[in-house]
Amino acid sequence: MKKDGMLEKEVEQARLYENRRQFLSRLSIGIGSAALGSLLIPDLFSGKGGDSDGPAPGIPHFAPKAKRVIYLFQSGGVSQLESFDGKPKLREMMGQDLPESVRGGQRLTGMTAGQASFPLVGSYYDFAQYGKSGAWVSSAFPHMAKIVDDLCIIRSLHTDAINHDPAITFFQTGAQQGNRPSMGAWLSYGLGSENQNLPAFCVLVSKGRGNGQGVYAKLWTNGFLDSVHQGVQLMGGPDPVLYLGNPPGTDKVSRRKLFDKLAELNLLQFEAFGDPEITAKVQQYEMAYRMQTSVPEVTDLSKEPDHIVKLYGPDCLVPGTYAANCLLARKLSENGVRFVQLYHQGWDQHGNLPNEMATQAKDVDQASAALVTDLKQRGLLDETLVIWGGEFGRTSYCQGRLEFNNYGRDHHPRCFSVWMAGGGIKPGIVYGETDEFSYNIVKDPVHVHDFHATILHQLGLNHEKLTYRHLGRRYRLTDVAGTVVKDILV
Amino acid sequence: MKSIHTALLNLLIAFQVFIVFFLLFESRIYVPASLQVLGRAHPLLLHFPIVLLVLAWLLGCFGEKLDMGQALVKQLVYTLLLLTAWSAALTVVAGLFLSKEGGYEGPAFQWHKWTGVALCFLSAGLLWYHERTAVKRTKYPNLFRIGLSVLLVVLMMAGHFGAGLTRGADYLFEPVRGKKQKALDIEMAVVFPDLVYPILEAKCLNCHSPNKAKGGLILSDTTLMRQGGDSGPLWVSSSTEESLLIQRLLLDIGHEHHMPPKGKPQLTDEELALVQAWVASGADFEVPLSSVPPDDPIHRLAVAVYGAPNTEAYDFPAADAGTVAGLNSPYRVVKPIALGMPALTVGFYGKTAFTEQSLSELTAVGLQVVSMSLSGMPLSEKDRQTLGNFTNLQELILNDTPVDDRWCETLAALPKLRTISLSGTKVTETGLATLLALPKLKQVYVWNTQVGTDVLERLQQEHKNVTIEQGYRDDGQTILPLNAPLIKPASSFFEERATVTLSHPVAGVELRYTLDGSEPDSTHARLYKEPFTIDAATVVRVKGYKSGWFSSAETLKAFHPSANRPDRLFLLGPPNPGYKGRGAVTLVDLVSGGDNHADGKWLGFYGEPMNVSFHFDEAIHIDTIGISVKQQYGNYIYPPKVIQVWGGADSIGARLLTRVQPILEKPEKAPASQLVSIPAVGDAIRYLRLVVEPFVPIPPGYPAEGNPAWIFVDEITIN
Repeated sequence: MKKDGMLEKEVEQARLYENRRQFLSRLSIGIGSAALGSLLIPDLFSGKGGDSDGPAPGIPHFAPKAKRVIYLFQSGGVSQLESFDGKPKLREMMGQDLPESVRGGQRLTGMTAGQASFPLVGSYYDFAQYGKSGAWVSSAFPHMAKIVDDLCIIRSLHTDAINHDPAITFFQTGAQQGNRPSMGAWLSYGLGSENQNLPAFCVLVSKGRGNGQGVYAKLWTNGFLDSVHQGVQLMGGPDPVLYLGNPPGTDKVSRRKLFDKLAELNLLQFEAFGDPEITAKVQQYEMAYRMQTSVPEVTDLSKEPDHIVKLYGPDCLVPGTYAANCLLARKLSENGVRFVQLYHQGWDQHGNLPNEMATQAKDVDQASAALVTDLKQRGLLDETLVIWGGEFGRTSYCQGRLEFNNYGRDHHPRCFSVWMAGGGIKPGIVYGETDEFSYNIVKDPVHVHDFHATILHQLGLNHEKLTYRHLGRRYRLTDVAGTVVKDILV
Repeated sequence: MKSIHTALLNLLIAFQVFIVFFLLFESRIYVPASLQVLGRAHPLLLHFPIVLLVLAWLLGCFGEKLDMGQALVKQLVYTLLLLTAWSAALTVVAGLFLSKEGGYEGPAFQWHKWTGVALCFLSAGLLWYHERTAVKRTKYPNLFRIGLSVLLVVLMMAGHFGAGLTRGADYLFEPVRGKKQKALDIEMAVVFPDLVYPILEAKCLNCHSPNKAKGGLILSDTTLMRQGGDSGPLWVSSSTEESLLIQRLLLDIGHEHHMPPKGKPQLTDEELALVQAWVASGADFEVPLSSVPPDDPIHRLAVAVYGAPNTEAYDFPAADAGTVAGLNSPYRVVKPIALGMPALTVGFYGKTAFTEQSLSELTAVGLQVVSMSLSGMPLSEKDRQTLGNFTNLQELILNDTPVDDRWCETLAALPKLRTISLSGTKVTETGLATLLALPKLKQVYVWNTQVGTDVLERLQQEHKNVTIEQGYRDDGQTILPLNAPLIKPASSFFEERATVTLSHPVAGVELRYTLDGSEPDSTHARLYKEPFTIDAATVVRVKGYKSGWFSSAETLKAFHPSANRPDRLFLLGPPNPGYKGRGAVTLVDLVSGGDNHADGKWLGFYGEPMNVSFHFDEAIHIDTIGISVKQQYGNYIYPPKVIQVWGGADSIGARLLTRVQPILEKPEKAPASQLVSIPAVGDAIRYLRLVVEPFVPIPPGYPAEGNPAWIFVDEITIN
């Protein structure tokens, strides 16, 4: 067979792989080397040959509380001080400097490191207690305030990063540098897909009106996991999944024939090379074919009754908005999508915080609360874990100009608030406490690794056992850390 | 004989090297199935070092008192020690293999492992010492005997921890300490007999039983317990302060009347709190734990005292794995709920793929299915009968299916159901009432069904153990503003005429619009029925109205004609490389630029004028020229400072037609974009040149003052 130059190299490589395996097999003919060989190479005799020593993917390690996750990521870093962690002391000390003892040498971003002073600033919004749990919520979030008894508000999350990209990457993948699988990819790998007509990991992005930071495909990457675990972005608009429709002049039958023929060719190639990416590709084509029916069914929001439109707010019918994405998230989740990842941009209030916070909150408040209510009334909240929060918090001192109704806050990694609902998380509780400046945590800190461990735990996965071998070592979402926060579990 | 001896010694060393290797690289070692057999021989092998070492110890310490030759004793001790070391090494290797099978962790395991390893090496060391020194003395030195004894202690420790691993940590002393309460089944537990009584039994019954009945109090019988003792009843009301029982328990430990008396086992804090909570709840002897609200302290304390409830045990066998795998398809997922569990969870997806067989095929695993979602599936009468076979179902989701009251009768025969979702079905009060008779029912979801609110409230009152979730109801009180209507086409520019379409995302919204610039109110403005055509500069203003909603915000869009399009046009100076659009044609493509000025639909110039020429094959008459510019002062984007319009028959004969200075609005008033309209009357024009100059510098009092300004242009209209 004549091969062109590029292919030749790859064929050579494939042979080299094979030779190495044969060599090791021969090595193990002697009894001693058999024992040693099989100790070092686990699957030498079993014929499995896979790199993974994780669980049989697709089944939880233990009975799960939650089957699915909807993560309402508020990109940019929501201020905890204007949302769930009200601090009256800051209003009293308005304009006074943050005591050095509180800051404790915490590193600052380049944006405020040069500031001569760090004047404290209290929330522009008033706080009040709501629900049976008496949780404090700011007046910017009236709808969330109504459902606090369904929420577990964690005020003591903390992270390692101080800038958007590393912080959001850390939240998504458990590492700041990127190239690791995203949480949704890990879940897809660990639990498999429920509905094989939709991707197990879907991504929905909306733009806010506030100062925004980019979100990009590396956040929903499969990293070193099989490509089938990659997040699939659904766009707002007539074509939610790009390139899903048949090209002009092609009908369903010829499309089917094309996929069949293509699969044949791909499998030939797979037999020659043994590259698992080839079978992944065949599977993706098949899923895409089925998605031609399933995606329009799910993304059609026109049949939603009036009371649902009122629940989420009328923007839920405008594709690409946060409200529409929340409604879509419910429908995807209802249809067995394991992990629906929303991103809403625009929470980076370095300046003009009171105004921007108002519009940002208005855009997400009603729909976020509606999603929880809607899942609950369908009996799905128990098996769906909903998470709301950003990549870090904001400083209790002001960045830039300081007025009562116009101030800014810089990034703050040491404490911030998120909430979780459903999925076996205790409803109606507030967990963790910060000091009176909301600068340091004084009780029950929850690190991002702990947060990840807890999420995996609710889905029936032991975060220490969900591993994947890559570059000679096992990787986990939680790296080498993470403790399940048992106190917030039902 | 000698060669066997040498082989044994060498192999012993080999084993020890292997053990060291194993311990060093433990986390990277995998034990294949073939070697697991050796691992599982560990419980057999371990008996050898025990017996051999005890014999060696006996002979080594007391052998000289025996009536036999000392040489023989030493020979025997040596052989026994050698065999001990050898069997210990083998046992350790097997043990290490066994540990890699998983399930072995925790301090007890670590102790067992390291004492075992210590035994292995110490015995080898002692063997060496025996040959080097001890054997040469007439009597064994004391050090050797001590060594033997230490070895024996280590052996006992290893054995004890190992037994703890297999039999439970408390196995040895259990008969002395008393047996611990068996794990609590939260579902079935009754508060008094399962939670409170065991505490009394352990801490009080020694004295307050019929045998002793101290103080005349007997706690082993509920009737006698109610009567109380010599000092009176244990409680009179649910007040813990008035309860004699609680008073005595709470007294200071040194107090004469403190119970249990000083020196006897005391109640733990949790136990005490549990007894208090029980008295406070009315000291009921029959109330089941499941009817106590989950946030009640009794629940919490039950878990604190008796540990979290065990994961559910299923009393049915697992289905054949092959059968389960065969039932899976892209439209039906059948999976165990967790690794090693017999219970299955089932999900159906894609209603077009749901056939008559979809559900009935599952009867093969009918016993094992505990959770099923049929949400949205077109269920039939036959499916209803099939569903009755799934007798172990605990969770069932039937949202948006044709399920009605007759289904409820079928479901009422599935005794283990705990959660049922019926949202969006035709179920009525009758059906719901049937379901509420289910003994284990915890939650039922009836949002968007035929069950009325008042009925729901009544049923909820009658069934406090069940959460009946009715969800969100639009009570007509919440009035929200509609969102803004949409105007199409997206571009503000058209050549001769444009067809304008108005729409609103919410169905049934009435759209009122004006074209004359007046406010589109709900009475006078035209009602939108179908797309309309415009052929001149028009401002379309539209608002949406619908009963039950506040009117929408207004959408306003200005449309501009561009009737005379040039045959050729050229930019005489390049735009900024970051904002060069599609070149000069960007200015006459009838496409509006978006909010983002980097979208390729804008031409950007920084501190330099835009210089553009238009060429017409046939001479035209010009009335107005419009230049559509972006304004975003905060980002240095300003309208032009000056626009010069040159025109004529050709580039040489062109003269300055006009020169205008657009109005520079104050920052707070400036709209995001504007069409700068230039009355530039000219006849017989075949050549036109525009020089659009930015502010250099930006005037004082404006953002970024002193810097050069940007200009952004998306379209130039010529009429």
